[in-house]
Amino acid sequence: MRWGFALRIAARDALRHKLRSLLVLTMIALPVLVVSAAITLVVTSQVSGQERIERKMGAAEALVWSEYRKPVDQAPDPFDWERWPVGDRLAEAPDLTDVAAVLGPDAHFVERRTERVEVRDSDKRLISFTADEVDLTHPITRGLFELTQGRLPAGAHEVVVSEPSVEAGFAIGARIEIPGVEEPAVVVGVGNDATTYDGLKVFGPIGSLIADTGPRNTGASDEAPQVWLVEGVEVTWSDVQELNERGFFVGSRAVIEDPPFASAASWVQDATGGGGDQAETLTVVLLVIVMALLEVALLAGPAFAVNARSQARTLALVAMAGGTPRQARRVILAAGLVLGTLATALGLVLGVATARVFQPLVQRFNGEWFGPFEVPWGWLVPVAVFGLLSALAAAVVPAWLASRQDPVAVMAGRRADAAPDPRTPVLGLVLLLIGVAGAWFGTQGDYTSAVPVAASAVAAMVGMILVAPVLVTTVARLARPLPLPVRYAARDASRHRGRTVPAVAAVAATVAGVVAIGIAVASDDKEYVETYIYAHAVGDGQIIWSPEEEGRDAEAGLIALAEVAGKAAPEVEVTPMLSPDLGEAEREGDYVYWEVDHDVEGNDLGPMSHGGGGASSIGIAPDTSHVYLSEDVRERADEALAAGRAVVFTDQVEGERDVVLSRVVERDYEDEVARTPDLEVALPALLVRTEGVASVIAMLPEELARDRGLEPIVTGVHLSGVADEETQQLITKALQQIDPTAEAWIERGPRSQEWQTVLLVVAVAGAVLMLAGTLTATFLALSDARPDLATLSAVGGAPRTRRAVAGSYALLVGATGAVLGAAVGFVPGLGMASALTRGDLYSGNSGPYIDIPWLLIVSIVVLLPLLTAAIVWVSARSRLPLVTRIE
Amino acid sequence: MTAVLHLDNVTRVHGEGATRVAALRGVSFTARPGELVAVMGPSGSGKSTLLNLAGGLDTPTSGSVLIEGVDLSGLDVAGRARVRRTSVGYVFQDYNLIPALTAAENVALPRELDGDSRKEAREKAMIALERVGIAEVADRFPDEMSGGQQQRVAIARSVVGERRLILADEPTGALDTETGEEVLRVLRDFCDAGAAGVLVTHEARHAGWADRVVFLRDGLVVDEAAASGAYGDPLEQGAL
Amino acid sequence: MSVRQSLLALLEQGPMYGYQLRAEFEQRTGATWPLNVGQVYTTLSRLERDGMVAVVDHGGVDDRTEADGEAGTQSESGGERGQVSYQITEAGRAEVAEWFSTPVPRTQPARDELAIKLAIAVTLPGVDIGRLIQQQRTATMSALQAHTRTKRAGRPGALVGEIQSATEDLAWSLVLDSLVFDAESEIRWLDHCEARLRRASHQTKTASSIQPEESR
Repeated sequence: MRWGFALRIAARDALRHKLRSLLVLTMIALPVLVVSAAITLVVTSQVSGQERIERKMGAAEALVWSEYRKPVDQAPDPFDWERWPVGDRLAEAPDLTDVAAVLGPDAHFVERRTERVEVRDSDKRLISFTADEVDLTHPITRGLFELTQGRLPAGAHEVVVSEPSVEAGFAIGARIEIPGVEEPAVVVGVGNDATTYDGLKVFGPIGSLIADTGPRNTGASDEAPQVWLVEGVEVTWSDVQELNERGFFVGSRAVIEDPPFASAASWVQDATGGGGDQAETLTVVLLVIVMALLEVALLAGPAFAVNARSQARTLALVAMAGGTPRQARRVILAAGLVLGTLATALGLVLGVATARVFQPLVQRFNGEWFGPFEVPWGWLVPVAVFGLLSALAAAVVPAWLASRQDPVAVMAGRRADAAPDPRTPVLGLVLLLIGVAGAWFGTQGDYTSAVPVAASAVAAMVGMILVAPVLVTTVARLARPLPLPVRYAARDASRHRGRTVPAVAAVAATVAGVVAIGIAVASDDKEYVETYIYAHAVGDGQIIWSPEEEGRDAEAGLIALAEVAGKAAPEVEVTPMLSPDLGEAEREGDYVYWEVDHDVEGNDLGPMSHGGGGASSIGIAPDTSHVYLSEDVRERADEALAAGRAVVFTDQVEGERDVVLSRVVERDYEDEVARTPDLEVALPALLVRTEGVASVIAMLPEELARDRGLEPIVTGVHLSGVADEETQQLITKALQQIDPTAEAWIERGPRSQEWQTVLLVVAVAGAVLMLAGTLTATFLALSDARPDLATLSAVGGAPRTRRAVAGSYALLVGATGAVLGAAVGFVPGLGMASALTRGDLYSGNSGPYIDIPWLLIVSIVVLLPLLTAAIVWVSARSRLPLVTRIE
Repeated sequence: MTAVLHLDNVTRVHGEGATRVAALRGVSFTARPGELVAVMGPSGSGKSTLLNLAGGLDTPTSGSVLIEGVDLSGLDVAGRARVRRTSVGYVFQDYNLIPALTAAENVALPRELDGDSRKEAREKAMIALERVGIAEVADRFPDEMSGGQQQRVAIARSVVGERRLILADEPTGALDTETGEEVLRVLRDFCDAGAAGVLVTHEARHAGWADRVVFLRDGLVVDEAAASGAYGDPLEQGAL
Repeated sequence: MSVRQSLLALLEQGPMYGYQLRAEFEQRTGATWPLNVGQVYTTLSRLERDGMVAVVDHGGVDDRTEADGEAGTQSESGGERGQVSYQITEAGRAEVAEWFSTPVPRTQPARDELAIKLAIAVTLPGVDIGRLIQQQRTATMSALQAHTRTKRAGRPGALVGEIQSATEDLAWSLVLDSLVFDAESEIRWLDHCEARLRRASHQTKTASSIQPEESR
C-alpha cells in the first residue's frame, strides 16, 4: 500500500527525462493556465452584491425608489432586475411620506436623479451623456464619485465629470448648455464614477442638469431615474417587504449583506419554482468538461506511454523483487501524480499571474469598473482537480498496460505490446453507434435537447479511441507494399500501440472537434444565407436618417439629403420614396403607424413602423421598381398598381379583395398597449404572396392614395446602382456634411465572411493542437525507437532514412487520426447543425440546413498530415540531440 | 535439512501446435540451505525457464515448485509476488538496478514493497550492503557505480531481509573475469552462511564455485557433478 | 625445457644454492609441478656446462642437510660439503631474456590422452561415447571445483604463517587459474564434442528413417 517508492521513482524519472516532462507539463499546465486566468478575470470583473453596495448607494443605509407600480416584489438584492412590479400602474409616484412612515423619524433622505441627456456641441455634434444629480458634498454620497482633479460642485450650477467626458469636450471650465435647463452647467472637477469605466457622466446638484419635464415614469434601465438615499436607520427585510407593499423597491445594505435566504439562487428557485434548465446546463457543462479532460489526457497520453515503456524494465524488476501488479501500476500513476501536481500548480500560479497582468488590458474593453482583484479559490480548486485528473487519466491506460506486461519477456528484451483484445474494438463500435443514435435522437422532436447531443459526442469520442488500435494495426498491414521507411514506421506504430493510440486518438479528437464545429458553423452560415431577407436588390439601398422632426419637416430634410446624394455620386439613381402622411403624434411617447388588415385569420402582419428616415412600409409609387421582389410577383403587382389597385404583400393568401388601412396610435404603458385606430380607409387590393418577408407591406398608386385622402409625402430616399463601397462612403460623407446621423445604407446581400473567420480560427486552433499531438507522439516515438534507428544506420541507413522514418511516422499518426476524427466528427457536427438550423417560429420550419465544409475537412485530412510530416521531416535531423535518453 | 527450493518432475511447454516447444521435460531439482548449485547447458536447454519457474515468474505445465515448503501452484500472481519479496532474490547478468533509485534504495526495494517503512527498509539494506562490502556507495545511483559494484548491489538486493534463495542468471556475464570472480565469491559466502543458491551459467569456470553442477540438455537433466569427483583432487595430491 | 629457463630466471635475482632454487620454484608454482632435488642439480650442471651459470663458493655455514648428498658430488672447490651456490652468467641472462621475449610455441601440442581416447572411441563400434563424455565431464568438473575450492582457501603455505610476499601469492594463484582455465576449456571442448556427436547421430537417424519410407 505504499506510494513512497513509486513517487520517488516518478519524481527522479521526471528529472532525468526533462524534455518529456516538459512536454507533459506544458500539455496540462496550459489549459489550467488559460482556464484559471479566464476565471480569475471574470470573477474579478464581476461586481458582487457587497462590492456593488458602495457603488450604488455610497455610504447610505438603503436606496429607495418607485417604478410607478403598487405593490411590487423583489429579491433581497433588487439590482440586476431581481425585482418584479406585480401590482397596478400608478399615475403618480407614491408619496415619500409612506417611506418615512415605515422607516421612522430617524430616517433622512437624499434625492438622486439620473437621466440620459443629449447636447450638441459647437460643431453640431451630438454628445450623449448620463446626467447624475446628487449632492456630492453630502457625506452619504461618499464612494459614488472619486475626484481626481479640480473640486466638487459648490454652486447650484457647478458640475463634475467622469474622465472620459474630458475627451468629449467637457474639460474643467467648459460650459454645458442643456435644453430645458436655464443656466449652463460649469465643469469644476474631473474624477471617476464608481461604476462606469468608460462612460460619459456628469454629476451636479439637483436641478443643474436635468430639465424638469414632468414625472419620470419609465423603468427602462437598471438605473432607476429617481432614487432616495436613506441614512439614519438600518433597513430590515421586513421593512423592505412593507415598502414593497407600498410600491417601493429597496436596496438595503443590511439585507444585501446578510440576506434572509441562504442564497439568491435558492430564493429565485423558491419564487419561480424553476431549476430544470439549470440541471440541463449543468449536464452539458459536465460533458464539455469531460471532453476537455479527454482531449488533454489524450495529448499528454503518449508521453506517459513512452514513460511506461522506458520504465518497463523497472516495472519488471519491481515484479521480480516481489512487487504486485498494483504496485507496478503505481509507478506510472505516480508519474501522472507528480507531473500533474506540478503542472497544475504551475498552471494555477501562472494563470492567476496572467490574469493580474492582463487585468488593466481587459478593463479597457469593459465599461464597468472591475471589482478588486480576486483569486476565486472556489473556482480554482475544481480547475486544479481537473488538471490533476487529466494527468492521472493520461497515465491510467499506460499504467494498466504496463502492469500487465510479462516481466520475463521484458527482461528478455522483447518490446512489442500485447495483441489488442478483440473485444475492445467491438465495444468501440457499439459506443460509436450509441453516439450516432444519440445524436440523431437529440435532434428529434420540437426541442433540441443538448444533453443527448453532448453525451453522444462523448460516447462517439470514447468509441473512437477504442477503435483506434484496430485501425493502427490495419494500417500496418496495408503498408506492406510501401517503401521501407513507411513500412517500418507503420509496423513500429502498430507494435507500440501503447503510445501510438493516444497520439492518434488525440489527433482524432482534435479533428473531430474541428469538423463538428466546421459543419455546425457552415450549416448555420448556410441557413443565414438561404433565409436572408433582401431589403433591396444588391447594390440598391436607401438613406438612413434619424431626424429630430417628423412628418413635413422631415420631408424637407430628406429632399435636401437626396439632392446632396445625387450630387455626390451622379451615376447613382436617387429616388425620393413616397408614403401616406401619418401626421404628428399628439403626445410624446405615442407610437403612430399604419396597419393593414385584410380580414384573414392568422395573418396579422404586425405593426409597420413609419419611421421618418427609413423607407415606409406603405409605399406610394406607380410601380414596384424600387422594391425587391421576384419577377413574377413584380409583374402582377405592377399590373395591379397600373389598374389603380393597392398591392399587399403577404405570405399566405392571394387574390383580389378589399383591405383596410388604419392609422394606429399606440400609447405605451410598458406592457399594456392602448391601440386606437383613428383613421380607417378601405382600399381595393391585390394580395400577392412573396417569399420570406418583403421590405414593404403594401403599395398603392398615387391617385388611389389622394382619392382616399392620404397625402403622399417623402419618407425615404431610394438609391440604386451603388456598385461599390467607395461610392457608398462618398455618399455617406456628403450626407454627414448636412447631418451626422445620416448615412447611405446599401444592400450587399448575405455576408458570410464573419463565419468564415470563425471557421478559420477554429481550423487554425485545431491545426495547432493536431500539430502538437503529432509532433509529441513522433518525437517520443523516435526517442523510443532509438535502438532500432541505430541498427538502421549501422546497416547503412543514411540520415535521410531516419528522417524519412520520422516523417512517415508523423504522416501515419496524423493521417490515421485525421481520417478517424473526421469520420467521427460528423456525428456531433450534424447533430449540432440540425439543432442550430432547425428554424423557429419566425422563419418557419424551413430547416435544417446542412452544409459540410469539404474544403476544410479535406485540408485537415490531407494537407495537415502532409504539413506535419514535412515539418518533422525537415526538423528530424537537427532534433537528434534533443531526443530524450532512453534507459 | 529441508530444501529451500524443490522442483518436482516439472514440465514447461511454451506455445501450441506447430510452435510448441518443451522447455523443461520432467525435471526434478533441489537446492538446500548452504548449497550453491550451478545449472549449465547450452542456449535453449531450459536454464532460464528453470530460473523463472523457481521464482514464480512462470508456472509449470505440470509438476510442482516448492519454495521453503510452499507450493507455488496454489498461489495467485500477488501471492507469488509475496513469496518473491520474502524468500527469493534474483541476480541478473546486467545487474538490472532501477536507475532512478540509489544503491541503498534498490536494495531496500523488496522490503518497501513488503510494507516496511522507508527507515526500516534502509536499515536492512545497509546491513546487506555491508555484507557485500560496499556500504560506502549506498547513496550513489547505479550509473555512478562500476559494474562489479552494481552486481554486488544486486546481490545485496537479492538477500536483503533474510531471504534464503538466490537465483542468479549469468551474474558475471557482463563483468571481466576478475570482477566476476569477486562477485562469485560474495555469492558463495552467502551460501556458506546458509542461503541456497542457484547459479545459471554457461561457463564451467563459474560452475566450479558450486557444490553441485547440473547439466541441462533440451529440457532434461543429463548429468550431475558433485564436489568430489572420480578423479579426486589433483591439487591435494600434489601439495600435501 | 621450461625447468632450465625457470631456474635461470630465478638465479637472476642473485646467487642461490640448489635446494634454495627448488624452494623458490615451488613457492611460485604452488607445488603444481613438484621438482626433486636431483632434477635441480642435473639441470644446474647442464647449465654450468653450457656456460649459463658459474659456481660460486660461499663457504657458508647455514646449509641445509637435505641437499648434502648431491651437493657433495657437485663440489669443485676444496670444501667437503656442498657449500656451492650458482651465479648466472651473461650468456645465462641472454637466455633468460630470450625466454621471456619468446612466446611458448603451440605448434607441437602436448600429447593429450583424452583427445586420443575420444578419437579412437568414435571410430569403434560398441563404445558408448555419450557416457564416456559425460563421465569425463563430471570428472573434469570435479577437478575444476577442487581447484576453485583450493583457490578460495588460499595458498597452503599461508596457513602455517610463513611470511609471503604478495607477488608470490599472485604467482601461485595465476598457476591455479591456468589449471581452472584448462579444465574449463576441456569441459567446453567436451560440450562441443557432445553437440557434434548428437548432430551426427541425428543425421544418421534421419537418413535411416528415410530409407524405409522409400522402400515402402
